[in-house]
Amino acid sequence: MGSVELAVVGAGPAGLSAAITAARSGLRTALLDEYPRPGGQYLKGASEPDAAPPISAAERQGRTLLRQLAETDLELRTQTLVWGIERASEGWRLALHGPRGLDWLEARAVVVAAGARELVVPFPGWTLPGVMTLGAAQILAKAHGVLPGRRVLLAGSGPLLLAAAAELTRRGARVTAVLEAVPLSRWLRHAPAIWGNWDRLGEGRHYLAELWRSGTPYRPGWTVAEALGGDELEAVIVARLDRRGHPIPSSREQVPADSLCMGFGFIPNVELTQLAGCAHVFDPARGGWVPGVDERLETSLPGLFVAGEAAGVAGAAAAMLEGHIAGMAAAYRLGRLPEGQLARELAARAGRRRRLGRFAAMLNTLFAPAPGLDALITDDTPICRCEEVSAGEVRAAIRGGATELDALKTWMRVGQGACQGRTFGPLLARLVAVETGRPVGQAGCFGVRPPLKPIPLGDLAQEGAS
Amino acid sequence: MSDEDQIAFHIEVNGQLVPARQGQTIAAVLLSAGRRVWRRTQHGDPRGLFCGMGVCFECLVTVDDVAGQRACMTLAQPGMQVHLAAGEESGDGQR
Repeated sequence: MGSVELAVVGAGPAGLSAAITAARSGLRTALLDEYPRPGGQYLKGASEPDAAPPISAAERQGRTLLRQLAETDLELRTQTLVWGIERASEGWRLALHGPRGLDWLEARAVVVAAGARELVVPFPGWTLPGVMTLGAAQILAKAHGVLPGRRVLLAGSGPLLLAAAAELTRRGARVTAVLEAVPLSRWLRHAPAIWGNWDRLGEGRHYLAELWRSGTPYRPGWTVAEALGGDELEAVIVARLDRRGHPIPSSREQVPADSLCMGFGFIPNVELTQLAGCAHVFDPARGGWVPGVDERLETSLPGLFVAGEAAGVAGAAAAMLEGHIAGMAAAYRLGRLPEGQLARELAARAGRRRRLGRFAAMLNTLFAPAPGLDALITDDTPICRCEEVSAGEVRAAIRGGATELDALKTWMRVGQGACQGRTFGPLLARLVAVETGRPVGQAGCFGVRPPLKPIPLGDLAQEGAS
Repeated sequence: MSDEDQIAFHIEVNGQLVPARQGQTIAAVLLSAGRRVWRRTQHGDPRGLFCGMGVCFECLVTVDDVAGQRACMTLAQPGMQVHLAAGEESGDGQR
């Protein structure tokens, strides 16, 4: 078992920023990430020789962080999953699984920068190979130079929809249409807030212009209703949405496609902070369940900090700012930064932080899936992909009294598979809300226990024997 | 990404040689070879790449005899042997 002063979990924009700041303040720092290379989803492919030039200040800043990482004295551990966390005599003990098997790491303080995952809405056929998330397709194209298919359809909502469409088009994919579920009328309602933040829309405007030039059809108020195919995707049924987001049956049309990429926004990854036991709140404007933090990004548990999307979905610029703050706050907590200096640093960044937070809340509200979208989840749709449980079975169980996610998990097996309910948990909470007429937050979220993700049983057994 | 810029090599997929480049995940290598069905569920349903970022565990393949590896999180290495438990794919898995 090793020990450091600060462990940063996640090497995306927030984690890079936190780890570099902390290490430069003199903290012995370890930076951990599950993927073989640092950078997170946002910076994947950024260091490839043929990477496109950065199109925003945030992307430039992210690439700078990757360069600074190489010059910073810290311990980078890639391909390393953090699957458990518990209190130790001085701080925290993290349970790891990496290339050399199981390991433990003690840290006096921890910054959780676990990022976010995509919010997906199930529909009939969504398990067919050829249907994937926007992020999956974007990374294939951006980091690996591979296209998801020959005829690509994109559906969902939010900024990533545009980014993925532009990336795929640039790489030569034939994008047949981009379906943005949010209708123009909702855009217009948010126009004043968007107008005031025009400079922050840089990436979005860039992508939109790129799509325009390529002649790709962009259809607001439409989405995917069904994926068709035998063993692989062959066609997609698309539908227009009414004002409540309900697909209009008479508008259904079939479009040939061998690839469908979809995503409806992001959900913070809160499993590690949940397992640590700090307080969480349900806040749709920040993407759902988020850990409660103070101004220094410290949770209700001393020495446990959260930065970036894991603290609330707000984009890469906010994530890097938060990472910096968490790195400094950890240095203060461990006696390496005087309180006065921390206060000055916080004050200097307070305005920008507030503006980024407000803008993110607006985007998260604008692009939140409309209630009617739940109608896509027909009773025969498998809602839990791992355990292959249908939405109809789940709805019957909810009506039978299982009105919280953990009750459904025990009763229906949903969320007991390898993904532990990460993929569809938020949607399940919406189904509960629809059936019970109560707010989504009251359905709770899936409880967590170690290991947070599957690890090989053999490694656990070996550890037990030694 | 031009082939000249990247170190190219092969991996074996169900006994067949498939081209790969350094830095590519197994997922990227499989898709660029046109393979999309990677395994079947206990009910026989086909599965392949879905989340692409290590969350959903749909893309599990066997790598060098170790089962249950996420194709989206594992970089391809020269000489790697990948096995897809996708069932009746034609022409492979028979050698």
